[in-house]
Amino acid sequence: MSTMARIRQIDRRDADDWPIDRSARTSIQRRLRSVAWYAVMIVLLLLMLMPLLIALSSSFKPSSEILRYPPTLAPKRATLDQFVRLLSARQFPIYVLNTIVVGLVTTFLSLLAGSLAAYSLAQFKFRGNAIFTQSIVLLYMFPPVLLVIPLYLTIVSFRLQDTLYSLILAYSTFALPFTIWIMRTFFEGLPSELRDAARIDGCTEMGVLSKVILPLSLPGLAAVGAWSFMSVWGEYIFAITFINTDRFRTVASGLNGLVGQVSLDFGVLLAGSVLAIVPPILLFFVAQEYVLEGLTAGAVKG
Amino acid sequence: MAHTALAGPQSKRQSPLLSFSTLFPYLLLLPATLLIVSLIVYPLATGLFISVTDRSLVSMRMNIVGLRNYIRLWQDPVFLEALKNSVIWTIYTVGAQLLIGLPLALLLNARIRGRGAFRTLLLMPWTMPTIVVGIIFTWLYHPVVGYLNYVGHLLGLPKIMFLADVNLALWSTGVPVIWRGLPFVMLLLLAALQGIDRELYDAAAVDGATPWQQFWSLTLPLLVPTLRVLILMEVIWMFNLFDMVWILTKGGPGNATQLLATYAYYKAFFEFDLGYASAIGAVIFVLMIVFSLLFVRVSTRQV
Repeated sequence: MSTMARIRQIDRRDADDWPIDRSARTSIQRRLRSVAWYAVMIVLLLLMLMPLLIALSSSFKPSSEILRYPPTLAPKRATLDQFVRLLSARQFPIYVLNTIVVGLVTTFLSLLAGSLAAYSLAQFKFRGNAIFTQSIVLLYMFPPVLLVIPLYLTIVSFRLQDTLYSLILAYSTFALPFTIWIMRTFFEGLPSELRDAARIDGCTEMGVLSKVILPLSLPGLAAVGAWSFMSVWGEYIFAITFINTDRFRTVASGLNGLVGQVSLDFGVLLAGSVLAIVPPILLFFVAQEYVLEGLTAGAVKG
Repeated sequence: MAHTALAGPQSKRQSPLLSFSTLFPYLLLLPATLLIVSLIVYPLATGLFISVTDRSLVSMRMNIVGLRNYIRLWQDPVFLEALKNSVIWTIYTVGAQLLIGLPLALLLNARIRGRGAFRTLLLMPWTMPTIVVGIIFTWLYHPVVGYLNYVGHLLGLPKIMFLADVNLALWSTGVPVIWRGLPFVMLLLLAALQGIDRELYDAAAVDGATPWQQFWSLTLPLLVPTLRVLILMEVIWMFNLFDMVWILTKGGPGNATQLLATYAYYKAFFEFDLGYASAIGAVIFVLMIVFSLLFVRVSTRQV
């Protein structure tokens, strides 16, 4: 069973016997214990999320208050100044659009090529299967910095530098192996009788794939797709290396361009940061199960 | 024929289809293989080749210089410092994530209502782009407007230059990396903890084992398979790490936070010495392969 599904199932199982905690003797002891747990967890949670919360609250401060010493926790006068400055004077909306385009195309390409390959590796026995599978694992070990140099030269020789194509190609280098890896474990989980049964009913191999396997693998595809889009959204090294023109920048390299300026304008930077967090956090809350599934499956089976 | 074993007995009768179904798995692999070869394998082979040349980013001439780049590495004090920093950095960030992640996972494994909500919220840092985490920590660390120095001031500490102090910079740079990576470690350990059969704890409690003894002789040994995978992955990620350090310090002050990856990037795109930069990349790669082989061998022998 998949990791997240197991965690959920254990949540439900435990919910049934929460009152019967066998190690606590009395109800007072139990109550004290859970009060202590909540106290500890709330403190830890606040500590953990503090950087995010302070950044969020400060993005609503006017510039004068951001620079004030001592710093304030909540804005004295909440304003959208920083967001207005970010969106009016900068090319932030273009960065967002570029990132969405690159993210969608990369994800689509990797899902297409990757799941076909994964299906082949999971459901067929053929010469070279094991070697192919093992080399996918080996790809994890390559330092991105070793790849970025020759890939840059390749991109330049095809005159693709400063285009979104360069990023789509570069991002496939991590999205594709990841997709193959996760979808392979997903397809291995499907009973092999499915394929046999459909073939006996007269389905061709392509028919089995499109009519039987594809509908069943939608959760897996959603998991990998969500993960892939999130990775593209935050990718840094290729984004700052391959793109020099402002209108082709992604969110990450656009924000990086703002950091590079001589005096740090924290107001605009924080507003940009807050906006840049929204899509991945939304995706995470909407597709949490899927995102975590992809993540933990890749790790646990790795 | 080995590859017909899965196809079942029917396929043997349909001989015209046999050749197609023999080729079918290869056809499925074709698009991915083309992409992987042209985008990863070929460039990486080129990268390894560049490491034995004097290829520069700004000129087209290129000579094969043999192992000269690799010999230069060992005479380069910055490379040696980057190597030392990378080792310290990896031990520090992987160790901290495990030491903080395990207690968090144990806490989240408690049978208490509402733990699902805490788990979700604790995972949030992991969803944030590195550049955003970098910006937020640059700001928190800022010597004038940063919150951390204000908190330090309230506690009576002198002003701390988190990112500009040579002795502190590497440790300060690690904090956002640990912060962002922690949820992942926590989640994997939690999944492993929840896979442990609860009856085992009941049996141990009946035998009079204290919670501390239960942890050391029951929980920890059962976590070993997960820890093994986790450590291997984290070491590779942290040893390859580039982005957060580049965002926060670019390897400075001096070379206090210079890691192998940032040094390679600097050599390639700021000094245009692609041959030398590729040699550093190749060293990272070889070290990781050696580490993985040793780690897998040693860690599986002990258990």
